[in-house]
Amino acid sequence: MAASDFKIKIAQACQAGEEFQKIYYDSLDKRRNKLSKLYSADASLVWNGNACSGSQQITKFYEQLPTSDFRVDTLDCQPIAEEATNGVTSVLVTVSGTVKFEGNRMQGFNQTFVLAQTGDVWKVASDSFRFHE
Amino acid sequence: ITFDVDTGSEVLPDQQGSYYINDQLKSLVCTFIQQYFAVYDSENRQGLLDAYHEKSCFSMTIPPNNPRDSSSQKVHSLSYYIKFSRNLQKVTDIDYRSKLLKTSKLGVVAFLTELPETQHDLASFVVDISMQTPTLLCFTVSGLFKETGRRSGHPQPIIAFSRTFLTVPAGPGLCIINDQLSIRKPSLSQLKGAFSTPAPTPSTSPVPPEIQAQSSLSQSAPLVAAVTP
Repeated sequence: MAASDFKIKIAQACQAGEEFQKIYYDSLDKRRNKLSKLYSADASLVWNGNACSGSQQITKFYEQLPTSDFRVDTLDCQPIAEEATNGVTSVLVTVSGTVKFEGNRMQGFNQTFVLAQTGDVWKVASDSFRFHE
Repeated sequence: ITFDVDTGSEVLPDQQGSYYINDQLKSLVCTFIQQYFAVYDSENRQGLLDAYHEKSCFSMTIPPNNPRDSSSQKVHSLSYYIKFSRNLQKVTDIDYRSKLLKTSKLGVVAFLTELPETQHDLASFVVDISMQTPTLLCFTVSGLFKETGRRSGHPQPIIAFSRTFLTVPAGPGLCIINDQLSIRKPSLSQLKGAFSTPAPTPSTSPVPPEIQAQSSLSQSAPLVAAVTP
């Protein structure tokens, strides 16, 4: 791929990640029922080692968590080569920051998403979350 | 997974250990991790060339504003990495964002070779396999490493990390297409338990059996299981 093409891919990946994290954490903190539209039908979630799959199950999982207040400290996005995705345009998004769940102490976390282009929107194909320590 | 609680609950699900999906993937991923970090911690990271795809990418991030505190932990060791940190919240220039993304196996390994020498604490590792398709396997390793080079001084700084590998199948093993490394200051409880097990030990050791440090004999061996011709 020409250097300029790849630069465009990088810019596209960064834009996707930046927009996504704003919508995602805003939904998590304020509008959890909106989460299901962000996930693809067969998406997977691993949350501190607890696994579930499908956008409905994942939304249900998040809806049962206490109210959250997320702060994002770092955001990084990489385009994923098509060899890995059968030609589906995809982005690897890595986030770290802190979260305070109601009734619990503030904790650091890392979260990794694979976003895949579905029609003309991005959908979460996988979501992996772990507290620090 | 469902919980029989009312909304407004303050209960979080219990934190579970590593998630591998199934035993076959567990074996595949643990073998990869053992081999990868054996080479990464060796004197010559050039052996990693076998592990990366031609179209691979690598970038790393550290949190902004590392606070200085009075603990004995050398906080300044993290500030060494600031210049490499590809935090899109701080780096807005597209050219700089491109520059901080290392690409191609040569570009990635050349960069990794320049990072400080390390020793990873395999006993501290927690692994989450987040995605599996016929063409990719994505997993995140969290744990601790220490810097062992002369430049890092004493006491050797201990660093907490989360590293996501997005891989494609390659023969019997895996080949890395995306590699993202997040590092941060470890917590006090992490520091207490760090490197508490001696290096390669027999079955009496408390090291989780699925991830054992490789013996020094095989540390210089190339990653033969992960070669993409």
